[in-house]
Amino acid sequence: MSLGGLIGGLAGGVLGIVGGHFGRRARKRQRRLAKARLKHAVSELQRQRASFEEGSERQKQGMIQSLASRGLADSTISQQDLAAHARQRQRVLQGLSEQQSMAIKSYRAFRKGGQMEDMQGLLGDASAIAGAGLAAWQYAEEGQRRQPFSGSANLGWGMRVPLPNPSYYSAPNY
Amino acid sequence: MSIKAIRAAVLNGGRVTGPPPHQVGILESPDCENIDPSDFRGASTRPGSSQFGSNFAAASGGSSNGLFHWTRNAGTAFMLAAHSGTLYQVYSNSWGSLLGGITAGGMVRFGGLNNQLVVAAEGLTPRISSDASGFGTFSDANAPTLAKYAAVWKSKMWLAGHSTTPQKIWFSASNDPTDYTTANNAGSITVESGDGDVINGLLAMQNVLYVFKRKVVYGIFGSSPFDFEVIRLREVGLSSEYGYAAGDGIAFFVSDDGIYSLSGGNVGIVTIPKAYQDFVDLTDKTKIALGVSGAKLFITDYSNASPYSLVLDYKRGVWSKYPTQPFTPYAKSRDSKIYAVTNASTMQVWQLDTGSGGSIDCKWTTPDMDFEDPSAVKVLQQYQAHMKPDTATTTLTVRHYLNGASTGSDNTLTFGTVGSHDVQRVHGQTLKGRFLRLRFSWTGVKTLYGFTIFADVRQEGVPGRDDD
Repeated sequence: MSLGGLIGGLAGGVLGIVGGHFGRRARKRQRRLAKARLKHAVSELQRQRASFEEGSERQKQGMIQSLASRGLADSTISQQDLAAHARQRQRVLQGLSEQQSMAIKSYRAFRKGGQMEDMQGLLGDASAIAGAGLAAWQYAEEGQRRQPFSGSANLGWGMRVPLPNPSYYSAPNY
Repeated sequence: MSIKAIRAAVLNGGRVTGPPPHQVGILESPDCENIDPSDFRGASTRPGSSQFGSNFAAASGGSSNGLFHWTRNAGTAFMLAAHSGTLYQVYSNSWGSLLGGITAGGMVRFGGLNNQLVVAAEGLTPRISSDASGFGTFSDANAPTLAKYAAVWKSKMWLAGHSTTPQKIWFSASNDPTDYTTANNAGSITVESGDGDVINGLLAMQNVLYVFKRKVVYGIFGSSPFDFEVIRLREVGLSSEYGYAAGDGIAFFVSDDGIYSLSGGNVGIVTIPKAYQDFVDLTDKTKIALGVSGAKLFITDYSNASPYSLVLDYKRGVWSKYPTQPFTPYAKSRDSKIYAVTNASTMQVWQLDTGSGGSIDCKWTTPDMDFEDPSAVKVLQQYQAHMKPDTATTTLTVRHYLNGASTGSDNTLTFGTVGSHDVQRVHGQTLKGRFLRLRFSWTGVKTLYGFTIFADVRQEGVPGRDDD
């Protein structure tokens, strides 16, 4: 090996070591940031759940008031409406729980050495869930203000599902 | 002498008992009977009535507690009448027993929906029949086990009157009076359970179902369970279980202080002012039956020793009174005929407001006329009556009243038998008083168009004229 080659090799090695050192630090910082964001997303999911529960209760009270103002406080119509609301609330809560446990599970897996790509995907999901939750609540709140509950359950997730009698609706598959 | 005349050209104002007789309009009468309130051409004899089917049984006595004229979709009609504890079908030659076990004299109401007849009778589980012959009970466990009020509204059967839940109304699935499954849009509504009042009537109109309680009237609006709405309309209630009926776009019910009209969510009183005193004079406000025939509302005081009906043409706002009307429950058929059951000695169903009133006695009493000067003394000079002659010789009897009291003396006018008009007069009278009144009476189909009366009006304070 020539001197030049040796110097060049040494220099390259040193640069390589230095470069490797800085590369690892950058990746570490990225992972740290990602973990923080993931943690934030999980807690955001929890916050959304609490917000949903509170909003759902408000919505239920609005329904009760609306039914009472229609003179139907004590009627099968009222029972049906409230039961449909409870069913839908349960469905949304169950969906949120599943998302939350999936996020926590993924977060743990990531801490044990998961790939950045997985985390990015998970972050995207969590952020979408949180965003969707917020949008859904805005919709639900607006809907609640805009019109009294009648004939269908306002689920708070951008859906209005008719009470369980298909014959009154053109949509046949409920 | 100061001869003054009063002319009443068209006697179409009907019976007015609210104000005293001297305040009643000249075209109105403080006491007319058997005058058709719908005839705007003059004071005409009311239509008659005719018996439907046969007598129940000789000297059966008592009254009926439910009447229904059911027409199946295909057009077959049934006349059903309840008496005491049994429901009967009224045939041309007999009354056939259909259903027993009803609380004796208890309320029986009916509903016909989609070829099915529902009988809601006090003390009995509601019965259903497709032929008014065989009766079954509802198999649906959600159906009411007791009911005595029924109505068909928005293609649903509505039932109420359960003794343990007297504020609850059940409604069936659409077009199926046997289906009370919630998932099929059937259900129930309890109307203000905490008010201590109970439902005592249901009345269906096109866009509203009226729910009566003793002290409140409600309306159920909407078109399906998804938008049904119960509205408390007014703090007046139904005083008599037979006291409600539906007319053309308007309904009526009897309450403690008057007969009320219902139109959509509007509630108004119809007995004030014209029939104020007539309403006060009804014997018992809890025993009044209402029925509607065309534009006529029949209000029957059936607990009176001599039952009679007040009759209102609700489109004209004109009243009359028909004496001897021993009818309790009314029923209107699909073709708008009105039927009622007598509560006289023998049970019979009658179709009212039909045919000619050939043997009906009528009377028309004028107001107390003061010739625009109450204090002046009037000496009756002459009067004349304008009639539409009958095909037979028309005899008009005229009685004179002075100061509101009958003189007991009559004059008789005889009219011709041809043409559209005849005017007869009586003159040479000398009756004297401050208020003059005439009472015209006749029998059979006639119209008294109007009258003219002449009197010498002697004003007080004028020398030689105050000889009262």
